[in-house]
Amino acid sequence: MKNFNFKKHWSRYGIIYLFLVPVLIHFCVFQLYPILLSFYLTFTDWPVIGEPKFVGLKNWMQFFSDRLAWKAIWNTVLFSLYYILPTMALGLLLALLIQTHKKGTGIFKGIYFLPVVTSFVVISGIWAWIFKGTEQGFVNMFLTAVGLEPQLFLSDSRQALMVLAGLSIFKVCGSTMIYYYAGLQSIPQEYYEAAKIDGANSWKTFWKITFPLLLPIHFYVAVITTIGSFQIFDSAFLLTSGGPDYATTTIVYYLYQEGFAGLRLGYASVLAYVLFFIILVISIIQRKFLDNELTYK
Amino acid sequence: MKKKWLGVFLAVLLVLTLFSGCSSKKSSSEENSGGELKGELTVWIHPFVEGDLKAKQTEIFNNVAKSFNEKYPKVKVKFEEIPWANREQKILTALASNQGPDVFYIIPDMMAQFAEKGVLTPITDLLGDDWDKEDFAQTTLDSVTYKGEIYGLPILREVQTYFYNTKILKEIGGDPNRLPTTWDEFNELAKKAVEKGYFARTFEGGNTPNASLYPLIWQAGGDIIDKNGNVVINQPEGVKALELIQDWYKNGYIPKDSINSLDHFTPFVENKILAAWGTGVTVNLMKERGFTDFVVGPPLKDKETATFGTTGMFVVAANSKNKEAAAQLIKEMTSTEHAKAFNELTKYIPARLSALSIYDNDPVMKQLSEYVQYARPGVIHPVARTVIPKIQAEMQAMMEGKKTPKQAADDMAKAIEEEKEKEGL
Amino acid sequence: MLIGSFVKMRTVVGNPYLWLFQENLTLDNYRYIFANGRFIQWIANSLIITIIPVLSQMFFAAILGYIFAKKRFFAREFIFWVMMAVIMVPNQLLIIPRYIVFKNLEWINTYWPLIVPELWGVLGVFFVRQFMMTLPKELEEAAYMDGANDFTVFFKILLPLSKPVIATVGTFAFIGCWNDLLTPLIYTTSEEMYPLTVGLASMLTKEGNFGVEMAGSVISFIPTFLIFLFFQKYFVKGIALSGLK
Repeated sequence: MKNFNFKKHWSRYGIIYLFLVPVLIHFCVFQLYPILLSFYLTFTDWPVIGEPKFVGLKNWMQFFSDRLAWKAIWNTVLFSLYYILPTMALGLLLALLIQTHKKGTGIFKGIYFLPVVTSFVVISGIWAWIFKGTEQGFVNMFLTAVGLEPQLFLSDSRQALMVLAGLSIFKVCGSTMIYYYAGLQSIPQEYYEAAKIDGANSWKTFWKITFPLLLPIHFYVAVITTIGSFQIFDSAFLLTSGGPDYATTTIVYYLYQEGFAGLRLGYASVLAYVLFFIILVISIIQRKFLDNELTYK
Repeated sequence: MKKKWLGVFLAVLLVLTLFSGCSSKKSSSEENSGGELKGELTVWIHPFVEGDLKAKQTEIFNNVAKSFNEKYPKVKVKFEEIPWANREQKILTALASNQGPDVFYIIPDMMAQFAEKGVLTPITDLLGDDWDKEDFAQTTLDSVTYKGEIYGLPILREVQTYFYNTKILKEIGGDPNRLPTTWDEFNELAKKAVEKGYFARTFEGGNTPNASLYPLIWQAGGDIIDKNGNVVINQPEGVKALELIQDWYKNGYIPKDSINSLDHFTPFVENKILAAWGTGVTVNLMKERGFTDFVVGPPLKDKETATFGTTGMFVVAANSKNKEAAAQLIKEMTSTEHAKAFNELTKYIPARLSALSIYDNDPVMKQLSEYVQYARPGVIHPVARTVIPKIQAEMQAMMEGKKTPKQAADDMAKAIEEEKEKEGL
Repeated sequence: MLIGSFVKMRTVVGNPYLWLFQENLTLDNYRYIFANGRFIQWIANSLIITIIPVLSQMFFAAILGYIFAKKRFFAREFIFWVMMAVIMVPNQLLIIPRYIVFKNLEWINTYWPLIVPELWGVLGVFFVRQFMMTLPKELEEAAYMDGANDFTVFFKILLPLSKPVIATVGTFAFIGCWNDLLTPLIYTTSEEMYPLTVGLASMLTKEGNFGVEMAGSVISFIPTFLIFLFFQKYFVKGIALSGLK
């Protein structure tokens, strides 16, 4: 303790003690503790009422031989492949569009953002109507008009997941748009002016300046879109009940079925933790590629 | 500085409370052994009606509390209305933390499962003998009984049957006074409808198999799980029912999106389908829509006349602190007087036969009430609810052409067996 | 997209089961909702459980985003990623453990479980962190050399530059709290405590009422949209480099 200068220590770390520490305590109580409790539950059988019964690794062993669980994982991965990149790309595209058209941006922003703030129930209803599997469906009317067969969409085990992915893209791209838009605001005008002086066209400007400078935002959007994607539940629950033929049974949907309909909370907890590990691994991979300490030159 | 210490102090306080409260499930029992019943009862009900009618619903339950208190003045009864949305989650979460209601509302699918898992209190003994067993149809009694014990008392029933579009009926030469009663008669009529470009009937594959598949299996004389818990869905009768559905689908008797449709009511009232498979609720919906071109037909018979009809019942939670009072309250809630008031308001079919008089002047509802005797409450088995998605999936696979009806039936049987194993049954 | 919103608008005022345009448009659904005696109470509840967390989240996101972006300290990255890890567990599962926590605190059917856990959100912190990492070190270094401490640097320099980001955090915080149905549904038991989402849900019977649902949706959506427009004001172009001058 000889060279400990309190004043200096405080001036360096004070802000952390003041704000981070209380938040960490809050975190432990409201986030960490429930998570640890859930982890404990994976080793129990708990039909929700009464005391959880300790059963060791039974639930985990069951998971490895559960075909449906693996199908759920596969469905979720497939969904993510349909959903993540388009949502990010579309968001970025829309943000760029808004940026370049100064007049009336408010209205456009508002319209694209509309699905984000609308309740999920409403959006699902609209989407289900648009993609109705009969000839009266909105999309089907167009298809028949150009001579194509009407599709079954949500009633087709191959198409259902894609339709749900479309629904999520529609609902979420407004959010990614806003994130990218905020990010775009932080790029100093000077860079663009310098590029113009150097004679670069907008395509080059985009790829060499805008896109790289958005890297921190890319990382953010990638991570949260991935998390959201792997946790997809509401659309499968509302529109397809996990079908047809398990085509839209995602991990969280299966978890919900096991936990609340099957009253097997221990097993449901296992599914939750498996999901957690998957997301964690993917996030770590994303971090390797996208998260760098950026410093400007 | 102060902020930090306050934060730490609060945190320590919270953590202490947590550890002290978490493991204890001590309950202070308010039950009196012998002596007078006293304490508090919380009942969770749902909005069974809308809008202006809601006040009447509250009135009805207030009357229940009043008449109950005449017999048991020391028991305080609290009715709480919870939304229909996510009600399972809400009920289970509350019960899991020992915080839930004493009495709540469920349907038979949930009853067997909850009973098996110990979520409910058996009330056979608590009810005593004076609750007019004979006032209920056998199918109604079946819906509240599991392994010989009674777990709740029913307040309402629903019945599913055919509603025929009279316009289409006339067009194809059918007679509203001589509606099909067997599969063959129906298929004959259906053929004529399809020839004229209509669909024969609605088929909501996205709905519970109680409404789509099971009635047909029962009509064929079969069952899904028999009274001894054996899986019989893939017996010849079950396969026959699936074959019927497959034929309907292939021949365009039912729309292509029957695979997982949740709503065929709309096309029915748009005069595209000959017959709708619906309930009393369907009647209300049609009234709202101003759709009057319908006539009620009987559920069909192949070997047996059968259909599905859920039961709404009130049950007692296993961790209720006032089980005896709760049982008596349920008796009161479902008594003839209150059952009449309730069903008159909500337009469901009363579970009590003596209450059926409310529909003496309503021919449609009266006809539906007559079918209650055929209306089975579903599969009374703990795995009934959990296998529903699997049954649906196999049926959907069959309709998509991936499996034959026999294969689908066998796979359904397998799925049920797996589920039973998981539960150790 | 435009079609989607257009369709929604038209069906909103309609009768139930109305996928057909222009039939029986009526304002009855709105009247029905407004006539509900608890309607004002529900909106007040929604406001309480939304505004407080929104302000709090904006503040904590800003300051913690700064701490994680700019300050160096022991186990910084580890702590950050542990916090991030927690949102990777699906919410549906955590409802029951959280309920147990709240029950022991005797917070059921109060405002507390709807406010306290929402006082800060790791996503907001994450977003601000990303943004602040793009702000050049030189800005701070200049200030430190002039004798400023952390607080000055944060409040006087970095925060003003972060307006669009904080506004974004505020927007999404508002949406999250205002539209939340499941959490208040589980943690409240009496009608006076319902926020708007639960209140609207409680007006529906088992079969639901399409027109009412839609009308409720529109009512719910208006404040959100207004907030969105409000926060858009702060999306001004950053002029980071000019700070160096």
